[in-house]
Amino acid sequence: MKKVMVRLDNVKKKYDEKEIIKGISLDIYEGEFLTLLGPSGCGKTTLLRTISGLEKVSSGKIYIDEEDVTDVIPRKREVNTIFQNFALFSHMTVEKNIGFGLKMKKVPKSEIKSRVKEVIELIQMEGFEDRKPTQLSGGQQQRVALARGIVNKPKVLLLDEPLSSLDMKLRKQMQVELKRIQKKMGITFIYVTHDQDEALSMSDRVAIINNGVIEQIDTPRKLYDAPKTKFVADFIGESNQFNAVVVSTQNDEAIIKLEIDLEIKVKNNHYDVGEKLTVIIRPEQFRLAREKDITNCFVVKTKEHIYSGSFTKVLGKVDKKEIEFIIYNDDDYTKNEEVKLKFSSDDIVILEESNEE
Amino acid sequence: MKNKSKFLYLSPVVIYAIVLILFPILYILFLSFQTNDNYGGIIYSLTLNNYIKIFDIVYLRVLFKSASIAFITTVICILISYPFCIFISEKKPNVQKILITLVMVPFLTNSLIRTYGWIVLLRKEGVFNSILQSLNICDGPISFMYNNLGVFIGLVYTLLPFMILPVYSSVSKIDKKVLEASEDLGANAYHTFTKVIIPQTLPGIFNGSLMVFIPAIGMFFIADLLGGGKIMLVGNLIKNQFLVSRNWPFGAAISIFLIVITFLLVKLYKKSGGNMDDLGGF
Amino acid sequence: MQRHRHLKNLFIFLVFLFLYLPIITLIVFSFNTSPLNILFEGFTLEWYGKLFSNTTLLEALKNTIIVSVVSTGISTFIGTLAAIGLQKYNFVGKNFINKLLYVPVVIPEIVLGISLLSVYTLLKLNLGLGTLIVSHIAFSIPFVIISVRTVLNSMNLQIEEAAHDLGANDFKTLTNVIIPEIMPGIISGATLAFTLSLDDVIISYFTAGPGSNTLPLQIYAMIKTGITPDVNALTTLMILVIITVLIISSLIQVRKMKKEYAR
Repeated sequence: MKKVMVRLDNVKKKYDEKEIIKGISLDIYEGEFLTLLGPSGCGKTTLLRTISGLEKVSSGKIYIDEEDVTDVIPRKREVNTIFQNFALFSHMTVEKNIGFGLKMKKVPKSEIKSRVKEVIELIQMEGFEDRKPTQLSGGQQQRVALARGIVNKPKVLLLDEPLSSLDMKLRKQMQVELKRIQKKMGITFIYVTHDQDEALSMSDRVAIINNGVIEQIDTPRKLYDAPKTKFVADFIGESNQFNAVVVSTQNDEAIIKLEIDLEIKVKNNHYDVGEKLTVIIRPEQFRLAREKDITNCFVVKTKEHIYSGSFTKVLGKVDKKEIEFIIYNDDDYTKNEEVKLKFSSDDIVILEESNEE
Repeated sequence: MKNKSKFLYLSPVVIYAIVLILFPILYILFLSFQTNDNYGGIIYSLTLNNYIKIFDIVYLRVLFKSASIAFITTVICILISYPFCIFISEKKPNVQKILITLVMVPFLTNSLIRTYGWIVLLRKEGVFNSILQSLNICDGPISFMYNNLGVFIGLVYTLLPFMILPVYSSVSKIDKKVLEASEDLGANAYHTFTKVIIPQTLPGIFNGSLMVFIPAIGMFFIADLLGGGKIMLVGNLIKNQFLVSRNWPFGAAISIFLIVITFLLVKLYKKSGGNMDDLGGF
Repeated sequence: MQRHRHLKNLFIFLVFLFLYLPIITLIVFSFNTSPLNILFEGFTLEWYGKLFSNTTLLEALKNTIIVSVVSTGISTFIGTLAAIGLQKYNFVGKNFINKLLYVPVVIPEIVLGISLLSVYTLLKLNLGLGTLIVSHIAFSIPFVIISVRTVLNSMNLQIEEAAHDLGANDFKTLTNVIIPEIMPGIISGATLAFTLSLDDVIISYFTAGPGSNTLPLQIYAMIKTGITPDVNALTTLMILVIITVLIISSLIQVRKMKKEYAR
């Protein structure tokens, strides 16, 4: 069993009677890269700030390395934060910026020097020690901000959308860099972002936060393949969602009726007849169907084809329901007004109403 | 702990604002309703007489004259600053910086010293008259000072940078691309000027006008030295009430009157979109 | 844009001539043998020698420097704290205090001068260096606050949190991070306060007492009774000091910029 580094126990945060965080409990393990992902305003940054201590919790407990830090002020917590716009001290050189935390902890000068040198090598910025932040590029500033945090060897490093101000290409580079440094240092990273690509590509686990609660916490793969709520399914990747009702059940098979007046056959999961379900089909889970009336066949009126290199995204309609699916460009497909689509009932996700609040 | 540092940060400024701004003004407000005895003392009463006295024709004349001098000074300052700033803004950026610094340099020396410099230039036996006479351009000396002209020269000279700086900052903020766009859209120079440049620099002009007009009402020493005591500004009037005729309540009433006018002008400035911090941020 | 370039340059030149004429005049006459300042008769350094034996003038200069330095120091301190505090904290009446702070900036100086005089009289304070310093503080603080606030507003607010996060306590955050970050604003505020104080005539006129004459007041008195050429010498020296300071500070800036661009 891995060691729990950060434990949140029913953390709540209220601003003027408005509850931003509605009771979140969460264990984060040592050396883990955990991402808090959610739309803006969901409370993810606030949650991060309660861990750093920059925000006080309204109720609940926070433990870092098994120690209750709920009422400990920020500078006494063994965590560091990388801020969204870096928050570098513009009057200090790179070296002074990085050494600031150590200086505040009254670490001997010679040790500061060697540790700063070490991280400067780690972030590959040798030769930039005497520059001021304004003389650095965005990516370099980002590295310095990161170095300023990790040089203190915090138990946990908190990163608040650190890449959001960088351009696309640099962001990709920095993602790789961050992951490399995290692995090398073995520090627990808690990372906040609203960018799902970033979250999925870097994290060991991702916590999807919506409206002040955790919708689901899982590995990136599981979040995509087995979303537990409609929100998660919608937020991670693209999805077609259908309301459905169980029509009949028979051993390990069930017939359910989708809102588009189509009955499909799926695996029975102890469904009751009449039970309401949500069926989630990812665009790439659709396959072109040849024969006419196989089971689980959609007849789609296409509206728009969006060419995208190796595949084409197609928007269409079944009844009045919008559908999105993908045609791989090596498929034998010609633009058509009507397309038949099939899917495997093994791939798709079915949520029971009780999974929703 | 948080309250302690809050107290440390804020108590000096709160005490300052109350003791050195609010209280003095409330006190002259109070004074303005009192009566003075003939020996400069104050008789405590509650009277509007001092305010009524302002509307006496003698004082109204001073107010009107002072306001028109301040107004004309403001207009002259605009007429000098505006082309000056536009021409400067066409220079290279570092030349602009040097020129604007050069505008500031004289004003780092004392305004009285500079006023004295004007006296040396303008007086009857002064430099201008000596030159004019030695060139035989005119017979007798020309009176450059001890009249309105002297006061205008002094006021414009002293207050010009307060117009140049805000106007320059608004002129230099105009995006050159906007001017190109305007020409591109078929506007001629006149239209570009009236429809694009002027509206964009209006806040700067307004800011400068405020910073010129209000002090121009009060600069008694310019009127004293270059007007030869013949020209009364409101500032001279107040000064006399306090130091010569020792009628403090009346002086206080005029001051309150000035404060009210100032506030009205500031209101107007804010209404036209002016930023208060620009007024003090040279 | 290049049309009428010469006319434009001529205009710029004339404005500068207007701005510098009285100063140049005084400098020239500081070397004039004729004490009457009427026309230039011959070169002399006599007035510079006389200046150093003119105790009244030197006394006034000393007072001016004391008042300016002390009032600038105090108003920069209070103003900087105030700008930070007013940005950081909310309190009842903050809006009102903020409005009050603009009063010295906008009202005619003479009004502030006579109101302070009235209060000093009410409190039976003897007019002198003390009242002069307090009065200069009174008009300087808002300018410091405005200068510092301008820089504070453009400062990244998260750097304060970053400092706390990195283990700095409130005091260290203030001294090691915030003050150095806003130093340009503090310096320009202090410069402004110092210049305003050096130059002030109107407020000093009402709040100085016997024996606390500042240079402007002394010159004011002298212009009325008869000015001596050593005033010209003093002016020349002051301008020299100012220009030296300006040149040094711009040289430092240039060197700094060169250093930054050298990379």
